[in-house]
Amino acid sequence: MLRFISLTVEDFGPFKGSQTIDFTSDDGVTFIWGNNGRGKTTLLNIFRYAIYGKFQNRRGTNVNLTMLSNRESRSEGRYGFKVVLRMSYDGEIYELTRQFKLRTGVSRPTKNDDYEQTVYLKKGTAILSSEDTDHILKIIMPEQVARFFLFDGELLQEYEELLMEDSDTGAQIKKSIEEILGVPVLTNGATDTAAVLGAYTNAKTRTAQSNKQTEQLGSQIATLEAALQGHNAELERLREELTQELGRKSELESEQNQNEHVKALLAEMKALENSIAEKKARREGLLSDIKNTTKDAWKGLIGFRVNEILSDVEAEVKVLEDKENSQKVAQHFLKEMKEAASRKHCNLCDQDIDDALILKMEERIKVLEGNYGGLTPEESGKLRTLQIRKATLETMRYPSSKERLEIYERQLAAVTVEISDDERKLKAVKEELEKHGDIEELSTSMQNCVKNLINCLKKIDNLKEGERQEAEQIANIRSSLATLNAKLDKTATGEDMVRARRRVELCEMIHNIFEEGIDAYRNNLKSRVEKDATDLFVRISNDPDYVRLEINDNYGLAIYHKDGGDPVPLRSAGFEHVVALALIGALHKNAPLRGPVIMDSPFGRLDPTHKENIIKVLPSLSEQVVLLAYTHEIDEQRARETLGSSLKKEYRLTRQTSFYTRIEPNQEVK
Amino acid sequence: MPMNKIEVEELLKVLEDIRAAKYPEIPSELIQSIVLAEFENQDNRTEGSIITRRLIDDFLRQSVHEG
Repeated sequence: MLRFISLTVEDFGPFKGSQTIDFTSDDGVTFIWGNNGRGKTTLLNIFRYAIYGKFQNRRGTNVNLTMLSNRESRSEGRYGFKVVLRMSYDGEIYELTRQFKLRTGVSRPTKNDDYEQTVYLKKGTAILSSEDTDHILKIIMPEQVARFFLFDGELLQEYEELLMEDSDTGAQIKKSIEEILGVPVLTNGATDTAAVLGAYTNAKTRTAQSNKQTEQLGSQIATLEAALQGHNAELERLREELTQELGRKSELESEQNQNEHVKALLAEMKALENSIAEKKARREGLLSDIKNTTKDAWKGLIGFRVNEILSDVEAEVKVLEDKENSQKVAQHFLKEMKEAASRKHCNLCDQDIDDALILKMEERIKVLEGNYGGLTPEESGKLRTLQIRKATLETMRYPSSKERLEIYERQLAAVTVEISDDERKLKAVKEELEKHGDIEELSTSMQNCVKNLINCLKKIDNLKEGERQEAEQIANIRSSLATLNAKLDKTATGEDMVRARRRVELCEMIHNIFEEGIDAYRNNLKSRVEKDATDLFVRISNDPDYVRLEINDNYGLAIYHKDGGDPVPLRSAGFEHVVALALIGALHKNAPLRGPVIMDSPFGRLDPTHKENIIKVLPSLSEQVVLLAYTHEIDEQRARETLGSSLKKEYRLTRQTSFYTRIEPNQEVK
Repeated sequence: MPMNKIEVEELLKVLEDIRAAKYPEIPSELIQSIVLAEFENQDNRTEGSIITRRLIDDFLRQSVHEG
């Protein structure tokens, strides 16, 4: 089986400098812990890049190589990146190196063409030719089955499609399943033996044509065989084209999803930019209000003292004004009294006053004139001065701006926080967008993608119809050929014909062994996959009443309850996840092709019981399992206890800076 | 590339059962050789078909003698 020995990554993604993960040569599990953004998925993609030279979740040829390299390394003048994967297979040690480096003469890359890729595979100490490199890589881990070795937990949901009839995704997965299980060995064998059978049948027909007795029959057979060959070739071509189109459809759909994601990011970026601009305007307004308020704030600050002085001045003014007013009132009263005394008649009560009372009044007037003498000239002057002072002080009274300023300050603090939050979100959105390359080209790319997808779907329909028609024609010709050949076998008696017929008979037997072997092997596999998947499912499932899985022709697995009856309908996302993992484990157990399983965040939808049960079965999935998980996705200590001696190594992706992650052996490992 | 018969053991077993039960005239070694050729050349269909053709030609030459 294939086993990874170590992976060295240099200046790739968040991994700055040269960093190495050593895997154990013992069977067991390796954990790589890392929080969001630390590079777990990038690490999974690095394995994919190492083996297949391709980047996942990128827009085909538009991958921006500069963006794949480490950002800090770039700022230090190191462009490009390198991956070295050491592996063992069939007792041999292989070292695969893939590197993108700047072409000679380029010091600062502006386009992908500024880079050149170096790929070489060492077997032991010898460097293999590029043909041998391709051949070995295709044999040890064909790309068609990559999904079972390098998988993203988030994509397990698509295995549900296996339960659906006529699902293109399901058909693609089924093809991959048969690939990993080795079915193509038989189908290719059947195709090749059929070709040999065809050649010997043609030879027999030629023999018949050269014989007078069977000449006419031979010619008829030859015509039909030529037609059959043509239809077979056409059917093969249609099938190949259909396979390519289905693959293209998956890519376009994935690009479409990617585009949708980018579109959503662009909308989010726009909304955040608008929100930031609006909040900044609000902040400017508040700053202006604060400035204006602060301009008169000194008046508020001296207000207290002004009020104190004003209060004293007002008190003094009041005393003097009261005195002045009293004198005025008294003067009026005295004037009335004097007039009454001189006329000996009171106008107020319209009565005459006798002389005795007039005397009293005159005495009283003398006393009062002494008491209400009015303001002295000094006092009058002082009153005028105080009144002016009072008026001045009143203009200096200003309501305190403290409360108003406090409100403004609170609003300013709130809007500043909102701006910071939005700017942080905007930065994250821009970083995410940056991963998708040139945004300017995106709009055209999106339109092209939709157009291409529509064309692709039409083409798939046409190809399927063409395939159906060809298959029908082939069946008719074969039936006619069988009748003619039976007639020929009865008629022909010559030695040549006997030998030719015998060769055809033996060829038919060989071909039949392969042809019949396909169905037998498939059925055999299905029952083994069903049994092993059930075994894993029961160990993982948290529902003891779900007792078995049943496999369909597409390798889809239905869950059955202990009470029997129909399969469990409307399975939860969590159970889809569990069934997919059980299927993958069973495939690994039954595949001729064996290798490491590297899984990224496979616990997303699962409850704690399921998570723990999956940890328990990890060592059963493959001899070498590498699990990429974020901290707290599972209980680390519990996972260690559950795995016990099956846990071989632990690494942690630790943040050095936003753009620099270090891969460090986990000190907590036992 | 070294052959790894263990990896295709299950596959061979299925073919051998069919051969032994229905086509005993065909030698099991021939089927095994074709399977291994196809297994090793999954990435190179032309090579797989050439080897298969050669294996069957050799067998037929030995089995059906010219008069």
